[in-house]
Amino acid sequence: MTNQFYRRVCVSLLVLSVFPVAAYAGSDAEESWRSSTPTENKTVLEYWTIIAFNEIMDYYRAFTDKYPNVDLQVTVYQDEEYKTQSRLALASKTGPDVWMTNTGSSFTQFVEGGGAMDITEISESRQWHTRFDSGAFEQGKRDGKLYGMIVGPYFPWQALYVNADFFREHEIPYPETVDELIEVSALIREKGMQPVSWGNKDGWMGQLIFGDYMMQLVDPSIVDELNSGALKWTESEAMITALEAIVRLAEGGAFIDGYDSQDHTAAMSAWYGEKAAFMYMGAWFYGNMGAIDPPFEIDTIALPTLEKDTTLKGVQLFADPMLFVNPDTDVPELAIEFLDYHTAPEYYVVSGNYFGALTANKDANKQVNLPPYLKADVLMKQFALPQSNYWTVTFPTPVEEVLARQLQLVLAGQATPEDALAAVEVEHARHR
Amino acid sequence: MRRESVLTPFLYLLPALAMLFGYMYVPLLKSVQYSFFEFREFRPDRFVGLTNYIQVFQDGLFWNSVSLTLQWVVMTALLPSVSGLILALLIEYSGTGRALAGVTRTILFMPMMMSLVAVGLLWMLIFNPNLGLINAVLNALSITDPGHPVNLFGNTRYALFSAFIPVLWQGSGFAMVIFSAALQSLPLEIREASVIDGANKMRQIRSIVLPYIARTVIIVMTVNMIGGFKAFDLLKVLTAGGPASSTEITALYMYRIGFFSFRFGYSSAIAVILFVFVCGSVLGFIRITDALYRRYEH
Repeated sequence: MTNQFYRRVCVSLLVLSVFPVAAYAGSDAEESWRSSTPTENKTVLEYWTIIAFNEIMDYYRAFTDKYPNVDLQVTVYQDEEYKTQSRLALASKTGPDVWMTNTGSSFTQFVEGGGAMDITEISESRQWHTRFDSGAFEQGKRDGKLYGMIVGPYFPWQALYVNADFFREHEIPYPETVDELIEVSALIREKGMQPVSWGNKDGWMGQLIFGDYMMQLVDPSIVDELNSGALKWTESEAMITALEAIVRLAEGGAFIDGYDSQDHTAAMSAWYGEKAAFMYMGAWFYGNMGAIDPPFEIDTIALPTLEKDTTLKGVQLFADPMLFVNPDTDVPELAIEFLDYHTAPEYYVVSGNYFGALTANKDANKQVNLPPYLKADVLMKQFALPQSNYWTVTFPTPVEEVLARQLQLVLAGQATPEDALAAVEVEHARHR
Repeated sequence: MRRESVLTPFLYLLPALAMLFGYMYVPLLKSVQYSFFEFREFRPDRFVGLTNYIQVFQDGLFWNSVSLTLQWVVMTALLPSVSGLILALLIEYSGTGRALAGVTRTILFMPMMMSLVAVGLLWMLIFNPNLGLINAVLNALSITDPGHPVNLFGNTRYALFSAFIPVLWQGSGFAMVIFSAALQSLPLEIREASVIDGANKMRQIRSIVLPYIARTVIIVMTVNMIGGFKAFDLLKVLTAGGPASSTEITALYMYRIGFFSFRFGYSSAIAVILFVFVCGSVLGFIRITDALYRRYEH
């Protein structure tokens, strides 16, 4: 054995150890853009975002046209990377001047952690509330004070998309209630189609339909009650009612065959491929399918209600992310100007057209280029209602997981609604 | 000098051993350690002794997953081995065309070259009641109609068997190739002698071929059985454990509890139990088959 041999071994180990380091270094998904070179003597405004596409970058550049003495530094992260970086920055007080996070409990963390400036008075003076429907605007408030504004696209649910040509051809009426949907489903099957297309293979769509039926019974304040423990999952009559309605739909043949073993993409394909008469899906399906229309006329109807006279008490809406100003910023006036610029109707038009979606801004929604079925009244009227985040992300993640699985068990007849809710309560109790 | 030469081969193995140790044995030992802890914020928070193990043994979904795993392992050990053996016998003994036999072997082995994730995606589409090939054919033959298609995952009692079809499709080719190799090594003189003695093909297979390849059968079944315990990727893609929990074998259940419910201590306890169970089962299987083989041999 020679020293040369040991040297070779050491070099081999060194080379091997370099691979993971190189891979780690290469995994950094961050990219940056700044409006000017660092040498120029300008006021720096730091902004962290997860929204990055050419049109929005052009929109940011236009801000620096308006404020030529500002060096706007935009740092773009991938979604998951941002969650880590922004939380680290919140904990270490090293956040940028303007930043964002998801609505709901994530935003609450930033408010409680001192990462979001109270902009209540500024908002009143600038009349920012006029830009939004009340439900959307309220999402940025905590304890009556405004801390942020929604800049993400809106993808409402609580609706069914309908193959209008099929219903017209077979003279089948649109259902308004759960019982009517079950009756109509039998007619649809006789005519060689499947009823409501959706997919619960992964469990999250079950959480959404459960959330939708809950919002027909109670307002979104139930989420806070459940999260605080003021209300137990086993104490809510509404939950039993909602679960029983969904089970009735499943057993009544209202759901597409195989809904429990297919995912959302198969559900969309089945509806686009004229295998199903209805589709239960958030409005994001349009952008997800490449903003193309299926080969039939589409109507949008309300998700059939529990009773004829049921009215919505609230809606679950996805409207991430929320934009806010860091109270530790050295340039508060400039940060507020950027917030104002970023929540102007022009931004929402750019964003809505890119995502193929409605936005939190009601004026912009009139200008966003979307097909009529995505601007139907049944969707538009949801913006004024009290909003909760989706029931896939509104409770602690382990609770969501148990909820998803228990809903699958209930739909398969392997658990009763009472047993399922008891299992969810056990998990939630661990995390309160 | 002598000491150095003994160590030399091991030093060459060092990088591989380091990787194996770092990526396999350390996590294995860590799993045992974690199984005695309760986690909070992704870190071991509190030593809880045997609590996780007690909870696992009281968990109905765990026992459901164990039952499904056992069914899956038995099917994996037996069915592809049997079908592979039948295919090998057909290929090797039903004709004289060696070139055709070679082409057939290649075609039947081809599914084995696909990753299990790709197989899962492919069969997920084939099984789909509305978009899949099976119902398209049945509808074209007017056996079913699109309003009432055949849903192979529709009954939770039989979903596991439906999910096994892709394994049979893919695994038979592997077993067939191994058995073909074993059959080709059988001396022709023995079979010719049996023909002279008046043995027909079935008798040849029963009295000569099967005893000759018995060791190979045991090896194939053992490999398949271990593969059955490791089943994860196919079912994750094909069914994700559903509908409900009808295909949620222990590996899937463990994964869900760990990476979705973030109960890493609990899922580590499941991992340890599964590890002991797999080791015990494989050793037991080898002992039983070995004893049977010796008995049969004599």
